[in-house]
Amino acid sequence: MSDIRYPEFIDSLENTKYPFIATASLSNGSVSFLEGTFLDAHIYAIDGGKRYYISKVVVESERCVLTIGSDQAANSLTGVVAIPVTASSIRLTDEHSRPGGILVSEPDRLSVLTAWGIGTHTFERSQTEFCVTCQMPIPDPGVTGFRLENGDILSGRVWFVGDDGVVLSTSTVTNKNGNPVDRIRVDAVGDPLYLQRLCTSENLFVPVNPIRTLRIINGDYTFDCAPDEQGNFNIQMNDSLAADAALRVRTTNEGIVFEVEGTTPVQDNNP
Amino acid sequence: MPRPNFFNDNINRTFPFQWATAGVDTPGSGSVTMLQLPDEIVADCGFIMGPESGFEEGTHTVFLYKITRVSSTEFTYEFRSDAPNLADAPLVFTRQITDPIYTTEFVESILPGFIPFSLSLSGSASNSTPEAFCGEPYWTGYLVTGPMSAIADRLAIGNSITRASSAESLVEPALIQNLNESQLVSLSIANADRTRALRPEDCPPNQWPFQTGIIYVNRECLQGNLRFRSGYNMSVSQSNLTNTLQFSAIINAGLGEPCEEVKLFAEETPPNGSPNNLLEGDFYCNEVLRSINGLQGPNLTLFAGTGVAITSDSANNKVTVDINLQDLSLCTYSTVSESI
Repeated sequence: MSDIRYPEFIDSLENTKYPFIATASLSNGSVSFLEGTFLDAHIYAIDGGKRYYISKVVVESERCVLTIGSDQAANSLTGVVAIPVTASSIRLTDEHSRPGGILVSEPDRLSVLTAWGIGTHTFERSQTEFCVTCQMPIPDPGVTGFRLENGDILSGRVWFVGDDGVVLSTSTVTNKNGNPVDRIRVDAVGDPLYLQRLCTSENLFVPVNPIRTLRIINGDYTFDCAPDEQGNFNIQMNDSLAADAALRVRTTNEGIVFEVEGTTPVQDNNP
Repeated sequence: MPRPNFFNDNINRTFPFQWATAGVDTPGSGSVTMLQLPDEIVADCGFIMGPESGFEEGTHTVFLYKITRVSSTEFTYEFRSDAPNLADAPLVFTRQITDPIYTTEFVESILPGFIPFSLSLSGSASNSTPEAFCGEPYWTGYLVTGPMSAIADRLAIGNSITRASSAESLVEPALIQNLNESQLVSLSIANADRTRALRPEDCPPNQWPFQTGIIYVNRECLQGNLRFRSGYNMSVSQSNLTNTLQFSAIINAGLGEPCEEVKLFAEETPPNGSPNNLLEGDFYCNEVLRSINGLQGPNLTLFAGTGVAITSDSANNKVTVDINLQDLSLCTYSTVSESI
């Protein structure tokens, strides 16, 4: 039998367990990957990990879902193959849909998965571990993203925008080593006119020109009176403590009543 | 015969390009197309897509776009990708004709650009404003070349071999590490506008000496170690267990209650002619009549009881409370008059 001296890269991997390690059994006892089901792999989960392996294959009527486990978790990455198989590669993503690698194959080779039957097929690391050359280390860049309470992940260039009474500002300080560090300050100071904003969106808010002072004219005297700290103005009678005061100023739920205490004339009903 | 190594294998096969996308029907000598590119030109390559590359495996590809003989001694190898963000960010490798076989070079693309806020305000048009750069390169890569004589024999000075179709010189997908969206590149800080006071139609509107209703940028492209500080009424807490930062608005927390309004940006001022220096252009609570005797508006009723007459003069915004003692029994000498 003669060998091709320089076989093509993919051809050279035919009939080998690559991209799995040489000791991988490629079988869980009930179903098996054929050698050559996958031609190449490149795996690099963002949250780190090593010793990646195929931990689970879920075969459904319209798709197959491959789960990649690592030493960190049994479900580090997932990849989806639509049935009927037309894809020649499987894109791997983590739980936040961030890229984590690729499995290279061909539609005919991937079709072996559809022959397993609908159900969940689990594997041990010893059965499906990928070889180390397919596992790329990920640099630790520090913060990879902000995860919000609703599960959304923000990465790349992120903006923090203060709104509705929250004000953000920055300054540069020095750390204990004397190196400059940027500092973000968060103030919650409120938005005094926030209710106006809520109404404006529906065109419900009609601006008014508020009364700011009351001018009191009493004969020749004129007074400009401003409200107190709470915006209140008090009207009361003079000599309110005097026993013989006749003027009454009463505040009721309906309004303010001005009246004078006294008797009214007896009406003469006789003509 | 010694065993061939990986590079030696590669200069005799299509790799690192996908099979049938290069090295197809290569003539023994003379000029070639990209599809005919001899296997020995490129021995290996690999690429890392940066966090802002927009690259998506299975959708986008990397390919050798052009090889140019710049001079008698210098060659360039230009790799491109069809990821939208990389359209204007090729990776260009340079070789000299004297470089030995399997010369390896690492190259980074340009950095993503942005227009700093201060410059964008000063420039009359955005295209005349110089860009700053922020973050990681769009992508990086390495190239290992075969014997330079292989390309020198087929490419005249000033000529190029250029890719003619999307099915040519495609790099093997497993040679690409995609770190798109994999990390936080930078943090920028801004504030949305405050709610600014409106004036009635018959009053002159508030006018500020700057544009309102926009996002005010404080700092762009913060990188490295960052700290959060609790400001007014703010509590910032960190849980290492859950890897969580929690921001809580609590009265008197952090720096306590502010004594004056906090500006959205350093140059923020009240509206022109403001009598009270309130930034939003409205009035303090004690500048507006909100209640009389504790009764709030918008409508407040004054009742005239016995001996009192209340009349109004709308044209002059005037209310007259007349203690006229009408309907009361009066002594003949009585001249009672009280004021309020």
